[in-house]
Amino acid sequence: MTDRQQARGRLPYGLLVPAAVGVAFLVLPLVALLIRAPWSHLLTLLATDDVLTPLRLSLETATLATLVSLVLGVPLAWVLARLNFRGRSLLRALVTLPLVLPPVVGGVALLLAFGRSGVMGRWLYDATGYSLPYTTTAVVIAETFVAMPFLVVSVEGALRGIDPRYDEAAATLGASRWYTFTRVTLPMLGPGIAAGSVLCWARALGEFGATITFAGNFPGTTQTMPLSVYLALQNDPEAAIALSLVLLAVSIAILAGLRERWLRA
Amino acid sequence: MSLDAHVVVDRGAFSVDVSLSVPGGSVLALLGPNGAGKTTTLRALAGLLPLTAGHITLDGTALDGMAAEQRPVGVVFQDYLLFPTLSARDNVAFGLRARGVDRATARATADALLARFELSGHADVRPARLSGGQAQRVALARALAVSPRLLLLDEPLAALDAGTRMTVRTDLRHQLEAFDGVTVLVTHDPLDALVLADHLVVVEGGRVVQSGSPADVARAPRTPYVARLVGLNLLRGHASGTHVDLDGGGSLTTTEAQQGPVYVALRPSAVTVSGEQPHGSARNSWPGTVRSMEARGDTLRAMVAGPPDVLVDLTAAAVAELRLVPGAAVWCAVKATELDVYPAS
Repeated sequence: MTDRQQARGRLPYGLLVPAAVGVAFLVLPLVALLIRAPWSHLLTLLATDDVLTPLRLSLETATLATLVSLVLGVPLAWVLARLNFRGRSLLRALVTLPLVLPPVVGGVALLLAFGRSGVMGRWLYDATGYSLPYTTTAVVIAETFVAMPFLVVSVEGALRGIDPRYDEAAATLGASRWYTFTRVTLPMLGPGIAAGSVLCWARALGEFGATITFAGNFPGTTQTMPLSVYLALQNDPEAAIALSLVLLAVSIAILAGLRERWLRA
Repeated sequence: MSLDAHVVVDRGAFSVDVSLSVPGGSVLALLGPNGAGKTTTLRALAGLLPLTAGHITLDGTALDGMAAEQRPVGVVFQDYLLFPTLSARDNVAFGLRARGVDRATARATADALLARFELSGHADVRPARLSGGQAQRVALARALAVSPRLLLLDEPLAALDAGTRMTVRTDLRHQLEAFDGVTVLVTHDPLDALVLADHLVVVEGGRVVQSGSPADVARAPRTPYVARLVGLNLLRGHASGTHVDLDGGGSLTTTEAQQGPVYVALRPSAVTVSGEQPHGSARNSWPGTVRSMEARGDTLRAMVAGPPDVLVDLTAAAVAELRLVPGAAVWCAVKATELDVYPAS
């Protein structure tokens, strides 16, 4: 332990009051959720198709979105971290824009691009008669659009932490660039990719705005957990609470899984 | 088998222009201060840096057009750069695997090398759990596993603590003796160069300032940097027979006659210091002022400003007897037989 970690600093006590209010503000809503939860018949509530169908859809689409993000996002992170080219800052800004963009705007943009009369969607519809919006594929696309930047940012950070001279060491041993990437870089990136994937998956699981705009709200095909929570709140509040508990449990599990990386700051 | 290289790398404000010629089975040390261009030269030999001009020829084959991964070259990096996700065995086997050797053969070769380097017990260990000396040997084994014709070592002992460095240096010498290719090692530590190398090339400011056998370089340094490295005073002057007029002022009498520009080298321990002007024959003497003193083992090394300015080694008893402090006025004396004089060009 370093001296810096041992030193505590001198606390101005006036900060304690707003800090306590802040904690209460963040924690009380979750406590309310736990207090009002229909614990007695929770399992019966959760075992219905109204819950299980959107839950399964959410898990499947979030996992698919994460896989797509991995396939596209890891190479993208590599380009951002390791290639020097003009406009790299601009590219990074574009790639991370969905992090701060209101998701509903993302949904509108996706409609304009991939909708039946969209920039690319029209071409797709004319060629194949297939229309993307309001399908399960559209859910995956909306989730990927919103969640992939989390993976890219996380993996890019991890790549920057790896000494590029490992590539040189591999080259002097006769390794091709591809062999070096798969045998040296990727294994060293493992923890960064894992953390990025979990963040990406969690963001995809909670996606609401872009999904409902681009994919709609059709039970069985596009109605994911967050959508069904919102709907249930209007006519079956107990079911909404039960669904929310499931998402809360998933979030806590993710935090617990990542605590080694972030909560020990 | 031999290496013949003329490395020219121009990086704007800094340029390197170094020629090397090394016979097979021998070790050449590139010695020089930090920023002299040693590592740049090594990286160019390895193919990690393109040549601006010049050539690299190994056993009659031109290497300069080849990519790093195609050159028959092994590199031990200063901080080793062992792959942290691979065991020691897989690090050593890496180069063979990358060249398409099957896993079983590559691992068997790696195990044999690890055994030769007395690392069998550490084959399954990740690099983070190896000691500095072990990591150095794994790095050397990794570089040798692909049977390179040219072995490049960048400050191979710099990452080790002083105690380990001694034993690793001796081991490294034996391992390099067993290697029949060409070895080029970069170091700023004269002891590494003297112990490990058959041939020394001193580089300063991107240029070769002196080359020769370690013994020759140590005996007759040609720059103040080399003189300081080998612990000698180096004075430059103009000789007329056994009389040398020093460039910085003062003159010396030598036993060996020379003509024209010369260097005069003298050991700090050959200079005697006294409070009064010494008498006697064959002695050079001059008055000076003690500028600074520092302890070096069981002696004290004093800087005495003349002219000429010299470093002097004194015993603690002499310092006490003469009541030497910085600022004290003293007389320096040195026998003509202690002076090494050699032409400057």
